[in-house]
Amino acid sequence: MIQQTMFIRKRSFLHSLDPRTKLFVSISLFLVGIMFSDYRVLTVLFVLEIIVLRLVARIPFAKLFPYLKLILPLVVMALVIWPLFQRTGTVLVSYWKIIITEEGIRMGIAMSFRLLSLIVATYLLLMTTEQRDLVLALVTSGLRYDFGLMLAIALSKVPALAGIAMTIMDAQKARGLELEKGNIVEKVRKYIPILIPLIISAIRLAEALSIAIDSRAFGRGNRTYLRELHFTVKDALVTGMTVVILSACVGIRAAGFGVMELP
Amino acid sequence: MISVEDLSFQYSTRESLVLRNVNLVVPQGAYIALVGPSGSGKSTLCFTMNGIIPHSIGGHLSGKVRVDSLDTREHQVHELAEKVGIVLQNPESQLFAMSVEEELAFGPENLGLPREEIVARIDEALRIIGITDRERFPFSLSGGEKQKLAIASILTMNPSHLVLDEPTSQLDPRGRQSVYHVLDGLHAGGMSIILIEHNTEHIAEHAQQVLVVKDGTVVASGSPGDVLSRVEEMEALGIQVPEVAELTYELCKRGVIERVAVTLEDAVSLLENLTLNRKRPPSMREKSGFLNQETSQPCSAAPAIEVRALSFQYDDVPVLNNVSLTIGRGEITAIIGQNGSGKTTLVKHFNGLLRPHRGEISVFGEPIKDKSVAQLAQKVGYVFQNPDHQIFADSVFEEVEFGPKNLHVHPEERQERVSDVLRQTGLLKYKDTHPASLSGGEKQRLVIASVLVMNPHILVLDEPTTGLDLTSSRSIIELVKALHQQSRTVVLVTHDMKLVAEMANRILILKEGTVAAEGSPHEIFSNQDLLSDNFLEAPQITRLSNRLGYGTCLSVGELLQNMEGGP
Repeated sequence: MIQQTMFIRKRSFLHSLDPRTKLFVSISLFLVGIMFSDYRVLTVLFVLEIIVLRLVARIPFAKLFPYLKLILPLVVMALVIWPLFQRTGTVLVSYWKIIITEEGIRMGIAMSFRLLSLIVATYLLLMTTEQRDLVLALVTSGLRYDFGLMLAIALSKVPALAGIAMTIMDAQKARGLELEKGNIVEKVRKYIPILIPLIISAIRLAEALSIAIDSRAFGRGNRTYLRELHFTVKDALVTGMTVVILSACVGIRAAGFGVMELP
Repeated sequence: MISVEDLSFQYSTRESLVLRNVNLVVPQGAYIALVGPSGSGKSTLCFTMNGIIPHSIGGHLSGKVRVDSLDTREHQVHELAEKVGIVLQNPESQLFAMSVEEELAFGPENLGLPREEIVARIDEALRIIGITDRERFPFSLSGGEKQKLAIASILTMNPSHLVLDEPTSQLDPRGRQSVYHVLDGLHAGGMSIILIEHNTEHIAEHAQQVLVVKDGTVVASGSPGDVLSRVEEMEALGIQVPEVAELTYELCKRGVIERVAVTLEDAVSLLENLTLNRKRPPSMREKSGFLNQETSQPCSAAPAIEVRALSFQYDDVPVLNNVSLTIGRGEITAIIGQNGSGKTTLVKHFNGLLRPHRGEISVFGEPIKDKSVAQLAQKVGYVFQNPDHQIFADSVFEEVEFGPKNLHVHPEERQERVSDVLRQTGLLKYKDTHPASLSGGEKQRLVIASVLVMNPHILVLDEPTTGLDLTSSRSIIELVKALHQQSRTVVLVTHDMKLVAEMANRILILKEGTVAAEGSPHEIFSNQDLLSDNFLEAPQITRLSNRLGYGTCLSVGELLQNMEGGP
């Protein structure tokens, strides 16, 4: 079953923060992950994020794993491919045309953990924040409301469209379509009978939705928001700390630390 | 009050008028039903009432629509939203929030109401529809709950008129009843209801006025008793009248009674005394004639489908639990039950779309475990519910050719088969037409054709007549009957008890993943406890014949015969 949201309802410190604070923290973690390229820094960053997710947000590991699995292929690819292309440095293995260096392995580890830490930084936000609060955070931070609404509707319709896609696939399979057979070109072509009805259904859905949205007084102006966002002392403290840490990181990075040196 | 004066409308993308000189008045607190065949302009008329036409959907509009003296042309949709609310057929396309509460808040938030007022309105709306979990994701609600939520999300704007476009056509009987119940409550509270509805039985019992729309004009109007009792006129217009009206109309023609009844209660009181005049043991006829017909084809050789101890679960949620059943050759079996009872999951096992976790399925005596869906397609044809979820080709011919192409049928034979099937389904004249331009009934015939072309002996039909008007569903029923005559086995999955009564010779009731009952329609429809346990209701004519003591009759003709004492 496809889930419409990654949000996990818990009572935790992180859950109780203003979504704007969490958005800022997430972006900061993201920046730190991009700034440094040393494998040790990135490993520590990832471990820290996991600790925060487990202890500060009280998200059980079991809930995190399915989402980590999604990017696992990319992580494995980074781990395998970087060493193959980093051919200079301290050679560890040399066989036929393959040269594996110590730097290459470090690079692979660094890139894997960079990917992991970037993705977990966004999970920290998505798993502890309801989508409506997230949209509200974006809107109060200056995003136009109709864009926020568009985003929210797109997210809310994912399971419905996925359901339609499954039905279409079943209907075409019942007419003898075998998606698994054939070479790549044939396989791609086999998706045409699925994509066409899906696109038409999506357009119909969008048309009907626009009528429903208009009928509910959309665009009248002077909108009330049922939810209120409260930026509290906690939020101020967390934001302040994040600013300090982020500046420190920028300073350290500017001084030339935490960067992978390649020969 | 909504008043429509001399209204004509033409969509900018079409060449002819959809509405022609429509006049009507909806007084405050009225309950008006709109009926008419598909494409008659009913939905278009609804969209003019809250300004969606002409503001959101463009076209040429002449005449006037006024809502409490506001001209809809001069006032925007968001201004009219506080007066007229609109609910559409498919709940999925009206709900777009992440939680029940947000869904309900959206309208009043847009109106810019103070927070306390919004909270109070949400509480009230939740009370009306009886949903308590306000954090629930709307997508995970049942169909009936979704539609009630769609209604409630309009109610929070406090409109005085509610326009509903076939709000229950996609719901199961239980969901349908709960939505009707909500509407009755709202009407009792003073709300005007304008309802597009195919089900004239409901209209006869609840609406104050019926308008018949055809080709963009109102061709008949009046009280339900008045309009729906003109049986022949209605059938000519493509309107299905209640079965009791058909019966009492026939009896009137024979001079037995003097007027036509349109509701069950009225028919009972009209005919109760009549039964006293005729001393005839009620169940005789049933035993002699009609049961024989049902068992006239004894099951020889292996059954068409045999299911043994089938269990299936989606993500650890059990859906089917130790189901065993057989479907005899040449039978028409109806599988009924509420949504979520496992009907679709069960039939998806018949052609291998789903594989059992435990248990075994055989088709014509052969286990299907090692057969692919494509191989099984030549034995079990599965026609899905919504034609739009499979039609993709540029022409009717290509659409039908898709199956045999997948099965690598030789081009010459393919051409021949496609032509044969198109002839049989009456689509040959459309063979080069783009499927998008077909009507609803024709599209349904097209999807049946594209399954038939693979020559299956068993045909599984999921809700083949839902959403079709009288004429189209008649044509589908005739087609399926003809296919059955050619010794095909038919499995029907449906909520439409009239269809079941008319077609099936065997009924299976599923409940919470198990077979709750099976038997002939006469057996099933005479067991009132069983039906109410499963939130099912026998066809109106069956309920009438049971109450009058004529046994369990499945059609108007059967009851008539019983009443007249048979030949």
